Amino acid sequence: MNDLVDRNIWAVVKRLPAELRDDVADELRTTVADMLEERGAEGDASVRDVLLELGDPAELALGYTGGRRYLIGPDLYPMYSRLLKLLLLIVVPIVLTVRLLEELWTAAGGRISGILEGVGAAFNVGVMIAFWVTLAFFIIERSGGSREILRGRGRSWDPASLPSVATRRRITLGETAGSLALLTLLLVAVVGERGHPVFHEAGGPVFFLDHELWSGWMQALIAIVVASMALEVWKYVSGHWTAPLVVANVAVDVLFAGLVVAALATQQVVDPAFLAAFRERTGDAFPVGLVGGPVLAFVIGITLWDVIECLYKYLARPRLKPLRDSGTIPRS
Amino acid sequence: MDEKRVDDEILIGHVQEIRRGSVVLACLAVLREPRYGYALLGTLRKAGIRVDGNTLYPLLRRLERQGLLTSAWNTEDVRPRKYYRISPAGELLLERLRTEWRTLNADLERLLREETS
Repeated sequence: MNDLVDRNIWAVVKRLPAELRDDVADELRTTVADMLEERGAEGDASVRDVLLELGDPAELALGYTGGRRYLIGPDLYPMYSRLLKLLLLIVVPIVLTVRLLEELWTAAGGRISGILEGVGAAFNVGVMIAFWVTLAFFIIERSGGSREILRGRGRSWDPASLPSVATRRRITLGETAGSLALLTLLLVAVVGERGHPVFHEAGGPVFFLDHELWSGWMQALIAIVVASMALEVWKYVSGHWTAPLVVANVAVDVLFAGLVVAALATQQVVDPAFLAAFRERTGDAFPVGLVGGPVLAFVIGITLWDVIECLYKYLARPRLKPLRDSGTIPRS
Repeated sequence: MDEKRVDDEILIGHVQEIRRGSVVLACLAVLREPRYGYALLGTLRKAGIRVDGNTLYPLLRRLERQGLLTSAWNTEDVRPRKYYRISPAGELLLERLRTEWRTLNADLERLLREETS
């Protein structure tokens, strides 16, 4: 048999399970011979024609194995694209902001290279997220898990479970991403402060914040920030302000403001070593009151603002008044 | 674009969509007589069923795996050939598919008549 034919048939059967190979190869060989005979012609040109009619070996093999021609099927795709978008929109801006600030703060290699490093890091994180999410969904798809996941959702599907048109998605992804980015920044600033001394004295590095604060104050602050982040996610998932959300939000706000006020009232906050070093270098005392006052006012201000805002949004949330304006549903 | 003309690509896509399921019905019907793949392809084409070899040959295997066809190698021919034939389970399915086809055809005909009259 012609070498070209053998090569093509091998290209098909090598992609098949071992137990099918010989049988399919024999059948294809006969088929090709029949096709050649019918044309009444030998020679490479007609062999080529016949093989062209049989088509791409990879395609033919896919037909035999019933292989899928997609990475993620239509069943899983909506969930895949939603999750990917959500992760990219939340994580990439956070990484970009944090890395840019970090690069510019330390300013080791100059501004431009700092910016490039930050953008590069954010890009890498984006690529990593896209890759791992795709891989995870690919595995779910191939392991047949999609059916179970969707059955779980499909069975419990009830049109009445959708939020009303008027209250749907009052809290946008951009809002959530922005809040999460700010909270991450605060977290990084609080934790990273220990790594960035203001002065280097003979006695060692001098930090701005008093190390005594780590006897519990800082830990409490971190816990509150983490709780706020969880609250943001909860808020986004529920899509609009609910009574439990408002209560939790006000509680976290009050705890935050209370902690800051109590720390300013009872603790040193600013490291005495910093005050001493500042006086030594500038000849003036560090204006603690001038900094502390605005900080206190700022914290109380944003807390009040946040409490009023969430209460207002909760109370003024649009009640059910759906679809009359659009007129798409005929009323009986 | 001319509004009176249907886009070829769109047309081909929809025609394929309509014809896709009919190949199985045609195969089962023709394979009441044992036939090998290439001969079946010829019979179907002569009957006006448009199908490619690289669709038909894997399809035969799939129907065999589902127990709808049986197969046997015939070594008495000029070259050894694999003959496919409908199985009892295939007969049952053929009956159901034929009913389905006729019902669908009648329903569509009625619908099309009402729409055009």
